Amino acid sequence: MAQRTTRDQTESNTATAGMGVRWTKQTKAFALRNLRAMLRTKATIIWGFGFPAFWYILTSLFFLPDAGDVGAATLADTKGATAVSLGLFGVLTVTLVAFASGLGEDLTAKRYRKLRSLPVAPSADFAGRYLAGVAVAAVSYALVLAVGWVDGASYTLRQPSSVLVVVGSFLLFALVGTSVAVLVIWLVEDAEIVVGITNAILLVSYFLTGYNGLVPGLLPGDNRWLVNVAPNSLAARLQAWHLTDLPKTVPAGTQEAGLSPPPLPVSPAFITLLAAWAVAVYSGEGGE
Amino acid sequence: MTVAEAGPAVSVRGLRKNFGDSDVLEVVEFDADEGEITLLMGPNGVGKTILLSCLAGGLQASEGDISVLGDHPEATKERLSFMLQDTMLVDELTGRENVAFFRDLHPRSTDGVESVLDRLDFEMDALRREVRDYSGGMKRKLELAISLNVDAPLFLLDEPTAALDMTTVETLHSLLAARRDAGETIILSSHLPGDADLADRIVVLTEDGVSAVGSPEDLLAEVPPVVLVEGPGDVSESVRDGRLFEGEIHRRGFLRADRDPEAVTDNTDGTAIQVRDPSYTDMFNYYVHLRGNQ
Repeated sequence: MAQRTTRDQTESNTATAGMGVRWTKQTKAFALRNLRAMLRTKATIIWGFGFPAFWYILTSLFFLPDAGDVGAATLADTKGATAVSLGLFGVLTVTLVAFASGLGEDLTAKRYRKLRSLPVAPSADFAGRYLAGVAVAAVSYALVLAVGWVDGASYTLRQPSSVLVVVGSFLLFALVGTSVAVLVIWLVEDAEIVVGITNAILLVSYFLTGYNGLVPGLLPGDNRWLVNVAPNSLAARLQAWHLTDLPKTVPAGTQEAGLSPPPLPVSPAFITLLAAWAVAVYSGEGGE
Repeated sequence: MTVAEAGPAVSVRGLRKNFGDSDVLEVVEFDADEGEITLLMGPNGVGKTILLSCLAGGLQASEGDISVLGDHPEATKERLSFMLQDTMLVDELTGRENVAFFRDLHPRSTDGVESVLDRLDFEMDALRREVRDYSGGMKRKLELAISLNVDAPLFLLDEPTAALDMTTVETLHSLLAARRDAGETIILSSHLPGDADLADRIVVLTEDGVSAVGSPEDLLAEVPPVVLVEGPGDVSESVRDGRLFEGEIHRRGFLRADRDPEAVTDNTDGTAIQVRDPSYTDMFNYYVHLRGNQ
């Protein structure tokens, strides 16, 4: 009896390990497939990589204050915060619009009739697509930060743990984007309409939160709390605080640059809020 | 164990599928025996692809029971391979990348893709190119090779011969026949009568469901003699349902049981009329358009 139990346990462990290997293999397959497909699509190059960087350049040229008005250090920090904000705009472009577009094409092409016939774990499908989206989004994000750096933006890690906060909030924000994409696909199921809706979500969320929380003064005073709650502005403001020296330049810094009020979301509670967003949105994956 | 004793690999009873208010598959019932090739034959749009998708677990039936290898389709995914025409390949990926994707998804994939592609006369260099540059025939060959590159007892193939040239169709028939001889079960759909040669059993699917099931020989034996008409003459009273099917040269109908072939061909108005044994094309017309409407 003991022997059988041991053997059963061994077989169970082997099966579990086999499932783990299979899951990893399937996740990698979906990740590579979607990464390649996204990088070979002109829309990704233009809207995911080119547009956020171009927008940063326009913002820097026409909307940021002069160094003479706010000081060189504050301007460099403001440019850094602007780059972070538009970098996350690029992240949302990739994880929401490009991701939804790819998933929508699979549904429109009836490709899921084939995929569902395979012994594939849905979680491997989602994880692979998510990883591909994260990889492309990371390029988009880094590209805007690099353009900002060339333009004179200054980046400073506030504390050692800032690396974790920036990476973690990036991953969580990407998860929010991909999850919203899945929800939209689940509701609409039409690739062409999905692209329109996700683009609308992208732009409305950016402007409604005062350029991803960078200029909360655009919102009525009573509603400015929104920038520390909406996932896009929350992530942007969290990262701006951890990647730049902006608060040190007060009073000519944050207020002139427009980041406060409300205060920047620097407490762990805001990281938890972003994680809660990711979990809440992801739990509505919609069965695909 | 003989093939006959093996029992059905796939059994379908009272299957119905609808999307919203629209029925795309009427009540369907048939068995597909283990180690045999079953051909789902029917015109475009009668739901052959939907039926195969239900058998593969890619779609759920609205009503009815499906048994695949003795189990529910959801539980047999590892033991089958499904080729779904025109949907599998991602245009932005190369042929080789598409192959790798599906190889990594199915745990029983083998390394035989290139051997199948070679048999199907696929240009191997094209594997390096993006699939968006492929012709319809090349895509079909790649979909086939990917789907046959699985060590499974059951293959479900959706229109595998569509878009293939006649030489490749013959090669594919030979390849599938060899797999049948090795004990594998194959269910394929087609609207091409030429595929009847390959089948052990034919299931004729119409808009109203299954109109006939049997071996190609048995089904062909039940088809009445065919009246071939070349010219303006009216023979509608001599053919079943008064119906003539248009062909490139002839109009064709099925001789009524109460008509004498010699009397029908005895014509003086310059119309050439012959009465011949039916072909598989006639069999298709008969079971789809005449029997299917009864």
